[in-house]
Amino acid sequence: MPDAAAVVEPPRAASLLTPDFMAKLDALGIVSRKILAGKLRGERRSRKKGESLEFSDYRNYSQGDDLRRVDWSLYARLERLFLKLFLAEEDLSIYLIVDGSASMDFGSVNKFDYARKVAAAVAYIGLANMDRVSLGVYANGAEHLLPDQRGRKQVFKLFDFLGKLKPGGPTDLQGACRRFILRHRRPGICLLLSDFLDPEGFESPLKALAAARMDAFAVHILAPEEVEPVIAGDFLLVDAETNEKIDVTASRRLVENYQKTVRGFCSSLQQFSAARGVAYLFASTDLPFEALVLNYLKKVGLVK
Amino acid sequence: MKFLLPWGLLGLLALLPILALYFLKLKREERIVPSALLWKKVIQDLHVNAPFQRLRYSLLLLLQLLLVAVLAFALARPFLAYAGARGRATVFLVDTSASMGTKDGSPDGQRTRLEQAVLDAQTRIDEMDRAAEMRIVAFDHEVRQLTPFTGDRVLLKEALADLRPRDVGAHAQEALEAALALADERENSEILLLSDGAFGPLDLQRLLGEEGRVTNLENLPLTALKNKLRFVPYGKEETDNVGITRIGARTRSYREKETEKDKVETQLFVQIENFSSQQVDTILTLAVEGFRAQTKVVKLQGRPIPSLRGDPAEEARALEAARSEEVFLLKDVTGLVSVRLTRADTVLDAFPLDNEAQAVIGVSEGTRILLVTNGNYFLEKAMTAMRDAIVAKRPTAAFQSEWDARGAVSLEDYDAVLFDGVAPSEWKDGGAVFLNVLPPLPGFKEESQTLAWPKTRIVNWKGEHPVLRYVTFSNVLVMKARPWSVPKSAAVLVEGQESPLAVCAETDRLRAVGVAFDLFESDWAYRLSLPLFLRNAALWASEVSPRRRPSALHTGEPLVIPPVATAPTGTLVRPDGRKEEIALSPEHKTFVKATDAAGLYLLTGLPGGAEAQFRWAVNLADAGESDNARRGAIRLGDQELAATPAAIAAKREIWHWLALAAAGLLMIEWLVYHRRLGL
Repeated sequence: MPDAAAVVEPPRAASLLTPDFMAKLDALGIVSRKILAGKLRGERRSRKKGESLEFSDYRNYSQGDDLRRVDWSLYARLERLFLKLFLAEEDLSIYLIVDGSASMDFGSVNKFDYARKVAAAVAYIGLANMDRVSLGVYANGAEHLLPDQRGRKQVFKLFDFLGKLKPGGPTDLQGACRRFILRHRRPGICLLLSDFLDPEGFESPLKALAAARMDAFAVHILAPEEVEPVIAGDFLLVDAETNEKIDVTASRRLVENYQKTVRGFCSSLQQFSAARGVAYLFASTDLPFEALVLNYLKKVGLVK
Repeated sequence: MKFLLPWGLLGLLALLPILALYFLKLKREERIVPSALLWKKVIQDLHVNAPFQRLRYSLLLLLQLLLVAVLAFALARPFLAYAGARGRATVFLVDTSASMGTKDGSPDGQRTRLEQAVLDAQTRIDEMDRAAEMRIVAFDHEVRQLTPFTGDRVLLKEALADLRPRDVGAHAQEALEAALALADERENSEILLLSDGAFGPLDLQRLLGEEGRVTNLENLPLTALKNKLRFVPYGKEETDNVGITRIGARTRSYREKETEKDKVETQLFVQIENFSSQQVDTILTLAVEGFRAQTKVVKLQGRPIPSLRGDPAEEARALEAARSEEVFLLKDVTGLVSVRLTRADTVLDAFPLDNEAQAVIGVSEGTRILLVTNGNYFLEKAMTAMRDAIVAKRPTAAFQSEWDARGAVSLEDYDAVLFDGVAPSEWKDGGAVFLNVLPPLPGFKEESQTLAWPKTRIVNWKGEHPVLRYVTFSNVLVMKARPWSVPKSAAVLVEGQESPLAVCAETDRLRAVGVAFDLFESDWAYRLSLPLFLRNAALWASEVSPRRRPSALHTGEPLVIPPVATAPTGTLVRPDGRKEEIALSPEHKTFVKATDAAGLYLLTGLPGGAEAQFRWAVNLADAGESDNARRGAIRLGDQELAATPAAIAAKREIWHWLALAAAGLLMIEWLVYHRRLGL
């Protein structure tokens, strides 16, 4: 198990998402639950008045206004100049924060692999819709950033970036989120893909995301071996991140208690998220990630 | 607490490896988990919820240490000085009956059961506490208190050392009753019954006394009895004994021709039994006065050992097959007849006492009856019908002249005399039947006038008396009778309306039966009851005859010497050759007790030489003693008291309790190990 990451070949760009799947993703778009200000003109409606085809309002003409926007038919009727205002179309910032700590390098279906596939899929949807996608992966104690990618052309660059990363090192979700938010101040949709097994707790990073007015999604990825461990007898459990060792005589009762603790952990994470407007999504790696993206992300309203 | 095997305590060293194992960490399989975060949380929760977790962990160690310690203690065979408990009083009830002489007391067969019991008791006396008291009571067919309660070890040990098995049966009931009474002299007393248990079931009610009348399962006196009484068994559970369990001779005198002298034909009955579980071939040898006369080979089946006996019917069949009754027919043989039983195989008999039995067949054996009559057809017919007696007839005149000349001596050849209408002037010893004449005994009187019907109506008769066995008077009518008045010592056999019609009297030396009417004044002569009555009366009266002695006695039965007028003393020679001067009485029978050794007893020193001496054959002939397999329990009514062989041991070992505790600890440890929550 410790060598699971070594055994699993780093997926090549193309192997992250299959063409068929990408074709399915083409039909989807990222939906924000909030109307967020974009930087460039993009493909989505904005609170700002802009140049889209969608009528928004009229206002009085003032000197200097573009005469092309004057509603001449209204002038003919009222003999006054009005400007016809349309809704602006803006781009959307999509932030993907992927936990690449050693704890993610686990499971028969590798959690990190799973997380980056989900990230790849969401990024693909974003890029395909001309959204601004920023990716931050925190592995081996370092940040690996791929900021502000826009346009379909960036897909393979992003895939390559994701494919080259190897998980490792301790979990520091709080630091990762804070640093990421400092760099990306524009509110946007933010997906945090992690197992949330942070010794410092999951509260601070979620608070930080909520405070940054992000439309945040906490995707909680756990391997089924973590949720329902098959273990009996005397073991020395070694923490993959901290090397901390714990003597355990795994009796049935102990395993039951563990399962209860895991359920309690998930539940508290969900409650905490809900309280701060963060959408929570539990993903066990035995759920095919395609199903997660196509079905579950739809359900929580991230894509449509 | 002391130890029989202190080296066993070395087992405590096994505690060290256990401790070492606990100090060494368990080599656990390493397993990498993505995060120990949740596991730590689980264990923290358990610590919070299970405050005794740490204790439980060390409980396992504690249990293991305790287990090893207990096992080590058990190996060292600890014992409690139970026997020497302070102030404890012990009654040793030692069985000295014949079966205790069986030579299988020790495993090597070198000691008899009694020797082993004495040895054990002496060992226990050696180890008794200073404040403890003991008392020795021996029993066989009688109970003997050998010492009072005492702490004097020398006295106690000497009393035990003098004990020898006696050739008698065991009367355990009396012994236990006595022992219980003796034990009650001290509080906190116990009775150790040192025996092989070869005796019958005991009467629980009698043992419990008045308090035990209410019997139920939770009978307190019974529990107290069982707590007080310990049965320490000796011998082997299975015996290989075969023995003679009964001997008896029946003698018949006969005359082939009138002119010939009387001849004696004797049937000697011998019962032999096999008490082992194996089939045994035996050889039965008969010797007359030491000369071998006849030999028989008898095959006896085995019987189930006492502890395995079950179904009563099957058991009875098995017992029947293991027993044989042999009859030797001896013609014209008188004197000492001995029967010897030997095994055809080479097995050494551990109990040789019952292999030989003797009987004395006297010259004058057989009942001889004299009929004194002037001629009575019915009487003569009835008497000659008696096949087991020789009846002689003498006319009244001839008898009277002989009586006048010689007195009582003229009747010494007869066991009983039947007087028909005539009586001698006095009757002092021997048996007599007086028909239609007043018995010449003190206190008997006759009124002058004769009673006539209906005053002679038969009112009642004593059917249970041996003289009236099978006799009924319901169809007898008496027309005339003599009115008798009889002393209180006499028993009225047939009661008439006004006067007794038949009486009997009995003293040490005489037995007399009187009939107060003439046969011809009644219809009795035509009834079947007449010959039966005459036969019963003659045989009953003849039992008192000085000529009659049993052919073989049981050990413990007294020797009865008839009144001897010729000498004031005699010399009794016992089977072991010891001689004893015995005072004899011309008037009364002399009883000699202490016939507790089997063999031939001889009374010599009487005038008349060898002809005049008395001989008695005394045999064990007791199936209860011959069945000498050690019993696993003694039966107290419907209850059982199981044998506790360890009760004699001054050391009461407790290793089995420790072993039991170890097993319990092992179970608890297993439970704790599997139920612990895990660390």
